[in-house]
Amino acid sequence: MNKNDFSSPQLQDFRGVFIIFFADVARKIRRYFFAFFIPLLNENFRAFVFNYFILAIILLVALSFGYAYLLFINFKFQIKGQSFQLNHGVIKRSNVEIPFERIQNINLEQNIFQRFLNVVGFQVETAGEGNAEITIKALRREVAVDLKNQLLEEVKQLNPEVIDDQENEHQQDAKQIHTHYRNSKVLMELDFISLFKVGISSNFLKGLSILLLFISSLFNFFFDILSHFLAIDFEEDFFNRIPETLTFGVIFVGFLLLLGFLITVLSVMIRYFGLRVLRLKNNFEVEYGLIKRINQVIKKNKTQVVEIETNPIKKWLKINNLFVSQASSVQLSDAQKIGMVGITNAQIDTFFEAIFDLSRNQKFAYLKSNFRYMIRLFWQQSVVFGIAFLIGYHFFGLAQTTAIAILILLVLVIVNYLAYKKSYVSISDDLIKIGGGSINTNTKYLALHKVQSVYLKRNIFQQLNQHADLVIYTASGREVINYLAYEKAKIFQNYILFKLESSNESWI
Amino acid sequence: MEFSNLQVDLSSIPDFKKVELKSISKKYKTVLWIGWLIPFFILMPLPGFSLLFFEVPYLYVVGIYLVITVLFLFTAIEIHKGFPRRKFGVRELDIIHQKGFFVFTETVVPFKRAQHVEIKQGPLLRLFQLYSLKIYTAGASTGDLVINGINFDTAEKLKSKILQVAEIEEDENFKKPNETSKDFESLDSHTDPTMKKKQDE
Repeated sequence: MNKNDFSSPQLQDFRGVFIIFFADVARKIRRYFFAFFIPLLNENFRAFVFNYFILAIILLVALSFGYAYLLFINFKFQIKGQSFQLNHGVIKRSNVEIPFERIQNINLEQNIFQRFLNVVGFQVETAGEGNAEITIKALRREVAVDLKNQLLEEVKQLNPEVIDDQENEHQQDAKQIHTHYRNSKVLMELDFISLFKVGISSNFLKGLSILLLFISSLFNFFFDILSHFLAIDFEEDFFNRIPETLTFGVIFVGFLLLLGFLITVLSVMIRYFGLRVLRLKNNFEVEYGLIKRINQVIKKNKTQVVEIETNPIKKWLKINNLFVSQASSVQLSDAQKIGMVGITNAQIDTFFEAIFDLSRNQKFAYLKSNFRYMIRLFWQQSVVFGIAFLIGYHFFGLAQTTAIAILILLVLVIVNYLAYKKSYVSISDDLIKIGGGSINTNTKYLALHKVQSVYLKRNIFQQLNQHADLVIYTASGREVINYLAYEKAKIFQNYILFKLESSNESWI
Repeated sequence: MEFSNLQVDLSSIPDFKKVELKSISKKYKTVLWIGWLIPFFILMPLPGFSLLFFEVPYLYVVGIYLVITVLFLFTAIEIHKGFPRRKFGVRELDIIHQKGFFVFTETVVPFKRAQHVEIKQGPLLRLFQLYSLKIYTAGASTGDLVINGINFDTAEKLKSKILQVAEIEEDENFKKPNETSKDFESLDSHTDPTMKKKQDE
């Protein structure tokens, strides 16, 4: 059924131009959102330069469409010899070559633009070495499926295991991607209520910080208006009006908290909308997202770290968040980890056993962080804290700043204490378990044989007080456990190395 | 901490601290000094010169020089005191490297986790006929191990030792075709078996 010949350089589907273009515009809007926003708040600006502003935007959009076309024309892929090749770039031309042996996974995916234009994205994943990953933005579904089959055909001869896992997938692909897999079981499917639970139980400090950024750009505008309406000179009248200011402050802070909470709930819900996890033997396919639909395969051997996150509210609602880090050539950010939110304990157990071939209840030997870790946290925060205090002192005066500072200090004491209490490393015969988090409780699991290298790090104080940080590298990044007793940390390092070197298992 | 939980007898685990470590070449200390002092002496007069051309408050310049002096002192201590601590050692299955005065790190990389081994030489190192050995592991590049300032023979010996251990691994894994990573590792070491980067020749 090879109706397409990929041995000569191929272009994407013509709709690719629009996909590139839309993605570019969306990215620009996200990046320069504030730049758009601030001038519009200014009255002078609206009156005089507005037309030119619109014109400039139209011009920019036209230019980026032209650039998208150039990108499209210069984007060519082909199957050549024993590898899959891609030539791309307008100004800086580059050639990516992935030998068939390196192909780990082929994903077809559709974001909202792609769904709208009825094309699929094509992604070739490698084992996490170098940056050799190829993403083709737009192909007709038949072409994508055909290309995938042809590639898999080649890979199969070299590497039967890879295909074994994908067999189910690609038979299905021939019909329809998004229909249910026949040979697969649904591990979890998050309904709307559970999703809402996940939303309200997430850490809304993150949403608050996004909000604060937003607020800070609104601040100027806000005070402008206020001083206009109320005819108050803020600096002089401040102390005379402390009662009013305080009420205003309380209401304002309350409003901020509420808004931060709402933003967090909404963003979490949009991000993980329609989460579905399918099980194909020991691999899992995860799909989520309302605006950007993410479809990723969790491969058993590519998985490095499994992180389980919970907090008191989540415990009460009997849900957890689980994040998976797979092998990659860069340190994974939190956003790059594959999230399975709202997962129940029973589902975690199933997942855990499939990935590690072990139950979660192992006998672990524990090593906890020393209380000096808490002191270090205070040291690290003291710089920011000090600067913030000086700024506050300058603008609001001593009394108010001290009051706020004490409040923040109290929060820091609690958070740091929790961070110290929850930090530990433990090992069993086959696993390493690392504890972390402050308000949330994070537990990371990784198989001993997936460790790449281990080191002990001691700064000058730790050298004196006989403590060390243990740093463990895996193919998905590093894990640091702070302030462990040196002698015991050494035993842990020795043990990890011993297990690693006496095992015959590979890290992937 | 209760190790009695585990099936392994603690005393049977080899301790990497018992390995006799070798120092790197003494000439490397000079390299470190030169590498630090050249940029230092180039940048040193800049704040002073700025007084001639711009109206900069004296206090600022004094402040900058104070910071520079402190920086210089700390770096000098780091180089002088830290140098004797730069050591490496080889066990049967892994390589140990330690360095640092203010932050002392002891790294151990098992040979079989090495993806690539490279012998490198920058311009300064070439002047002193020294080399550095870089061992790439999978994942982020911060996890790679670099041993600077060793002579070519040592570097070669270390590299062949690592490749040898890694190759035994590969042969075992040829029976198991699912180990993709090993396959291309072997591919790499077969296509360019020596990977010599001797720019001086």
